[in-house]
Amino acid sequence: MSTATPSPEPAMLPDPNSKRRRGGRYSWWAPYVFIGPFVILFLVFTVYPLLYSVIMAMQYNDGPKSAAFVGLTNFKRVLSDPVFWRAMKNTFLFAAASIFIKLPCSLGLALLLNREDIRARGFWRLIFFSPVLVGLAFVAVLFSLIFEKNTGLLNVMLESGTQWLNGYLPFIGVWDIEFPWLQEWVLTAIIIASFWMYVGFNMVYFLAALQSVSKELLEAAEVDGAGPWHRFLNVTVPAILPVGMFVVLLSFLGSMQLFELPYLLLGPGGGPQGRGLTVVMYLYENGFNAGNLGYASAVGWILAVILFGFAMVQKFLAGKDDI
Amino acid sequence: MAQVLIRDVVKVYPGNVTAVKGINLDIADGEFMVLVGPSGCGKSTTLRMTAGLEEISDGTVSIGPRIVNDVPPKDRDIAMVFQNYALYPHMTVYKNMAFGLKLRKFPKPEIHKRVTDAAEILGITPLLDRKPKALSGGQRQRVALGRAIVRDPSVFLFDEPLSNLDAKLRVETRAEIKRLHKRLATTTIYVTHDQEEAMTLGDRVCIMSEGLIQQCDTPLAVYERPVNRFVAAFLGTPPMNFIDGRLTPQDGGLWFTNDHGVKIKLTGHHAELAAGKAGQDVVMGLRPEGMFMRPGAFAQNEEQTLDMTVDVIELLGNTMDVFLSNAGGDLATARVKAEELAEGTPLKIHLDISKIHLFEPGKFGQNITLPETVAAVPG
Repeated sequence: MSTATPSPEPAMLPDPNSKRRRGGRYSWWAPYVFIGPFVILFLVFTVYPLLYSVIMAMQYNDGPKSAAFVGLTNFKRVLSDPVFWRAMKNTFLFAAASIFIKLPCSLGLALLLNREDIRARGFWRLIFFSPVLVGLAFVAVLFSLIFEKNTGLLNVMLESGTQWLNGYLPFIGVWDIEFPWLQEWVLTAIIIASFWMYVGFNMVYFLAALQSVSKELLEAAEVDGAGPWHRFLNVTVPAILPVGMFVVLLSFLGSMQLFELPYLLLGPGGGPQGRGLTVVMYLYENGFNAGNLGYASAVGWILAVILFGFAMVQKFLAGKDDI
Repeated sequence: MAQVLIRDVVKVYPGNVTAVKGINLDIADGEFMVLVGPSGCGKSTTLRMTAGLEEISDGTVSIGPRIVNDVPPKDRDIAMVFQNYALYPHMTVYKNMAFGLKLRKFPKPEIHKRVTDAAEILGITPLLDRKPKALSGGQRQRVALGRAIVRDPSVFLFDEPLSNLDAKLRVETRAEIKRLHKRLATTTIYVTHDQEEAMTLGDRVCIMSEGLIQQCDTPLAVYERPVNRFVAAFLGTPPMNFIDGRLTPQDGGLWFTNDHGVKIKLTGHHAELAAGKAGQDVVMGLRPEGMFMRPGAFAQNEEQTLDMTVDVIELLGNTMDVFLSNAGGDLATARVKAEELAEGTPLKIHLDISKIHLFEPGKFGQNITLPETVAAVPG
């Protein structure tokens, strides 16, 4: 008598085409449930406002009940307003200072604090980074005191500096310094405050990039005959260039959106004669103080086009010599 | 070209870690010297001190007639090839090779001639306009070689240059380096952890361990006459077999015996040189190629055999590695001509007594079967 070997129980094996699989735990709509919350929030809070702001930019709009289509009039008005151009000039000057003064200083600081012979490097890195941990409101209050014309720390320090210098160079005399930081040199004051706040922040990006520079490559350059300057120029700079470009872009975008610091330091108008007025302050003034949301939307879109253009230029330059 | 003299060189890193413990090495003009050893033996540190990339804690390094301890790397007249190629990623191959010459303010026509000549030698002329990212590993290493040879330096320094290449390319590039050295005859110091590279490339091979030179001699000499157990174990694939035992005087002769039934009669210079150590514990070293499955021209004496059992066989084509063991747990590998053989077969292994060595116990136990003249000059 022979006994048949029982075959494996088919029901025990998972069947990829079974209805249970399709209609049960592995339902086709499961992925949509996972991405659904994001898509809904994205549509409601990003796509809709974006599209609506395009419509608003072409409306005279000082409230939902008084919207009237005006075509490109808002854009024409913005571009012919001298106050807008002053705000634009201030914003670009600030951006230029950020890119050409603050970023090189950040890089210099990063190079210094990347040296192995610097004692307590971690401590100094924290010290230079720490201003960014302080709130903007606090920074504005702090610098309004520092920049005070008669008793502010900065003028007092500059005055005692000239007194000290006078000991060595008597001919310069002792200056009675009352620099009008928040009256006439408003933009310079904003640049200084922003410098204090963000120089260490950008330093962190450069530090990270510097730490990824190949030590072997630096040594190869040293053997090849490159001194410190040539090693910096031919090894370090190319290696940190992608991060450098990114930091430039970030700095430019941040500068173009400058608002809180001058607003808190100088008030809504940007100080005397709008010397510290920025594009976003101008937008805010028109949109939320004057109540013309259509006009403010037009300003917003002009700003967006500038930012997009800059990002494209940066992308082009970064991709030009992809290393 | 120049000779390199390393005198009592010590390297102590912060934290009192001594990487190199006072080494002496004379590298003749035009010689190809290979520093080989396991990771952390101090070979790369020695090379880097010669290059000027590490400070020398004590001792002196001379290149040619001058001591270069305080001379920066760029003024030592050296060129170095690195493990990871170290090519400037934003420069073309041509610019990579020309960079050192440009910094030294060579005239443009001279730079062009040197770069194109070197590219011709290395067969990389079609690659001159490419950037390193568009090259394969082997091509990158050739460019790195090219960058070194255009400088026409007194000394070439190689820091494990083939480690990143696959096995086939490694063999090809190795041959290329050998040819290049024959052609240029430049003094070369080559660091590797690969004993095969060391044996095939070096005029002399310097085996290092724990910051010290264990032996420095021609490849054949270090293989056939290792001064200590470390050197013997480091060189050779499969490595030398070691069996613990003692020297026992018996029947008017000297025998190597142990408690696992191993009993081998020592004859010739082995018996003479080991005579003074009779009664002492020793370690016997046997090269796999000195072990045979039946008596032959090199292994005829029945008193020089081992009774062992076949554990595993690895067929390598016309040869095979036979992994053996005995009841006492002694292990050995024999490399023999390939033939039909079953695992578990008991075998009488015949030994070529001229290929055995006797070492004092311990990792660095001295070879007591070497003439004194060889054993006395380890470094």
